[in-house]
Amino acid sequence: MTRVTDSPSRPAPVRPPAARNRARNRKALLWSLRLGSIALVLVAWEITAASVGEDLLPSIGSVVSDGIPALISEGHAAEFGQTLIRMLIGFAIACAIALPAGALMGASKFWADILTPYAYGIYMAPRPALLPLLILTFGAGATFGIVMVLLFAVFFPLINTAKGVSEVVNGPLYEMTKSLQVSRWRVLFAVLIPGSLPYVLAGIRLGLGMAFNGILLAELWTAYSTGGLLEAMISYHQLPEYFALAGLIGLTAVASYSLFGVFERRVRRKRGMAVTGAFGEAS
Amino acid sequence: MTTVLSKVSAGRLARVALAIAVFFVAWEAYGRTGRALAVPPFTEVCSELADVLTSGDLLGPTLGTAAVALTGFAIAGVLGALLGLLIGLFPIFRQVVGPWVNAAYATPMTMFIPIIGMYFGLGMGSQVFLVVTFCIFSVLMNTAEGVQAVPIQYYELAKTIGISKLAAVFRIVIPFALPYVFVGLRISVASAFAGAITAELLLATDDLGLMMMQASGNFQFVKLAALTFYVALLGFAAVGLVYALERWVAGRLRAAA
Amino acid sequence: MTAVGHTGHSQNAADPRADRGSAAGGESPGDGATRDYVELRGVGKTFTHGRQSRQILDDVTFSVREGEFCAIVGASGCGKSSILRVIDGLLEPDTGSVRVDGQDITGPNSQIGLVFQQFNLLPWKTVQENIMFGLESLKVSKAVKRERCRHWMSVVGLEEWSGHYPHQLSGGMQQRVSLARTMAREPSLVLMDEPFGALDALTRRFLQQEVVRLWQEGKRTGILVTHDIEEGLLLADRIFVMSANPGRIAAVVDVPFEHPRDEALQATAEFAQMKEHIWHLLTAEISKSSPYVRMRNDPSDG
Repeated sequence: MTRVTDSPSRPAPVRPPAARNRARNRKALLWSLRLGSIALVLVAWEITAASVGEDLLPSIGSVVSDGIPALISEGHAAEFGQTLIRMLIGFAIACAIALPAGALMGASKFWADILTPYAYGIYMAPRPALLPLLILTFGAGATFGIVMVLLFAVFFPLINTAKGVSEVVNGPLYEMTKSLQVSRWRVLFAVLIPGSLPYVLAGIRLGLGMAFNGILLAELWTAYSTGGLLEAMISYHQLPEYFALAGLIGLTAVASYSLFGVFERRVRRKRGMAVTGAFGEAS
Repeated sequence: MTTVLSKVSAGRLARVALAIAVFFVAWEAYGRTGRALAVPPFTEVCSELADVLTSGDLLGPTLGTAAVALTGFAIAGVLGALLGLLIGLFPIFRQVVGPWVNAAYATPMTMFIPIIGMYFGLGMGSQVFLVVTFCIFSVLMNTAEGVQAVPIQYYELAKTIGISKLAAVFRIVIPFALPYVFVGLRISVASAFAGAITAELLLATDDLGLMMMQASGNFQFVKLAALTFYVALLGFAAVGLVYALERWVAGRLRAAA
Repeated sequence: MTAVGHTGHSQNAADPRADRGSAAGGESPGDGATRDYVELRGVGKTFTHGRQSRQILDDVTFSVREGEFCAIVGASGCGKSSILRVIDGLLEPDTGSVRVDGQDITGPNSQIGLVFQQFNLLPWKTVQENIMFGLESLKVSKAVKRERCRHWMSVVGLEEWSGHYPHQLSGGMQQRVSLARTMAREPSLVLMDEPFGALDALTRRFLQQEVVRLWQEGKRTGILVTHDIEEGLLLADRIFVMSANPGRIAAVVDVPFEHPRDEALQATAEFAQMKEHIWHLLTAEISKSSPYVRMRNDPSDG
């Protein structure tokens, strides 16, 4: 019997030269637009700085020449490092709570009903309102910051893990494992965790973003560590140093966000899942 | 639009209500132990809140905070929806502006609080600005997602019917993306109140934020707890209002169709 | 052609080529060498969703002989998939009993394999890893597992794709992996739940031929569930016609054609007659269960 070999779903596209050129031109246009937008922002900055004066907006040059060295010499970067460590501790605790709780919510309707009001309660309530209250219990030091990070960062990992686990457990894969008599432990490690991984990563990525906000809010409120530095810099009109530090914080946040985004895209691509464009957020 | 309640069985609703009730019972129990200054018993907080409400002291500050929050929310809503629409509709725009939006979303806007104060002064302007930075991203991203979720077939349908691209946007894209927009708006309004309180605590102490700080300064811890609870309720009420708004809009759309 | 219906409604005129009238349930006639491998008696199942309940299966009784390949043909949603899940031990019936190889079914076991409609491959594992994953619960040595994996990958023709991920394969190839995964466990009973429903017609035809070939090479018992009458006629020895709302075996039809059943057979008048016959049985049931639905060839029309 002749065997028909059907072809895979995605053969390598071989496009005619005309189409390839058009694609190349589009890519070139895109990158030139992107670089152009960066250049635009920098130019706009310089012009604004020049017109409003150093007191209001330092030129990029002064930020680089005065602010950046101060990061090292005045220990600003080191201080931010301390803040980062505190943030990561709080974030680790948040994940330690959110991931198992989310898995529970995803696997069981009962727990989903019980925990959902708490999850959304924390998210919808204006959390900064807790600043005056929590300082009474936790003082004005490191613990306070960690608690704020916990409150800010717990929601996204929780909800996204729940969604990921729910999809696996309520989907056809789960029934298949029962038919194949796979032991429940194996299902956890070989199916549940890999299956929910894309969502868990999304949750961690979004939660990390909130964690940054949490630690900075706490430290601004108590004028502690990095927050205190930022406020002091404004009080003493040390604008280049301020922008240098803010730049460092921003870069760290954007870098970690993007890094997790890269992970997530790779994980999704391997599974043949849709890799969404600019915004792959789970709201 | 059918309500969520009509689809959920009585058993599940009971579980949710029970979970919420457990929270308040636990609060009461922990409060009674007196171990945390910050956690008075629930009943005490309620009576204190009732006192403050009836005294009329809350009216002004509530309006003030709500004004800041809702103004910022409105601006962010319009700007965010517009930008989201553009990003969703035009791929080039999305691919150039998108990375900037992502970067802005990832940067903690809180670190700009000191300099916002310096630039915008210590008045409502800077407060509204902060609120906008807190709540614009939800609306923007959810709108963009909604617009991008419009299936290609709808566009093809529009072409065959022969309506202009602009008309297609209004009569096809926007109604389709509206549920997504409202998801973003609901999150956004909660963030707006968070932003307003943040502004009133860290930027220009005012209204409810000022009241809270005064209570804290005067060691009136029960009053502080009551005010915090009140602010939380305000946030929830705002989300409820957006839910109501969504149903009203949906009703008007259905009537117009 | 006499169809012995379980619901006992009027029989059609006897066809010169009278079938052997296989009884729907109970001992198999005459042929003492092959015993009943699968027996369902009075199986019933009702699903409750909140305040609504739907009876999916009602008094389903039939038997499948060892080495037989049977098809359950019925409209979508009539509960045929539920029957397979009951046999595989994934669904517990509310009433009645299920026995395979003389044993009551309490849960999935390694002698029964189920091929799903939606492939159900783990997207983060390669083809080979997926098949090995299917073998994990078996108590055989690693070497045996690897050999079976290799063997079945070559049987379905996917050895070159062993390191690929499911999303890189076409639907037909993914279903072949799913088939290989089930067959590698070497079950004596293979259940197939509309396995080719998600595929295009050409791939479907090809895979149907593959299944026939597999059954020629090794005698296993098989039950196929499908809404495609032709598929049933091409593959099965006997067809159980199912009615819906609630699901019941309405009729049992012997398929007298010899293998291989190819395109030439499909062009014959007999084939068309059988197809028509089963179609009538199906539509009669549909009209019965819903008085407002009248199919065009309803025999009760004038």
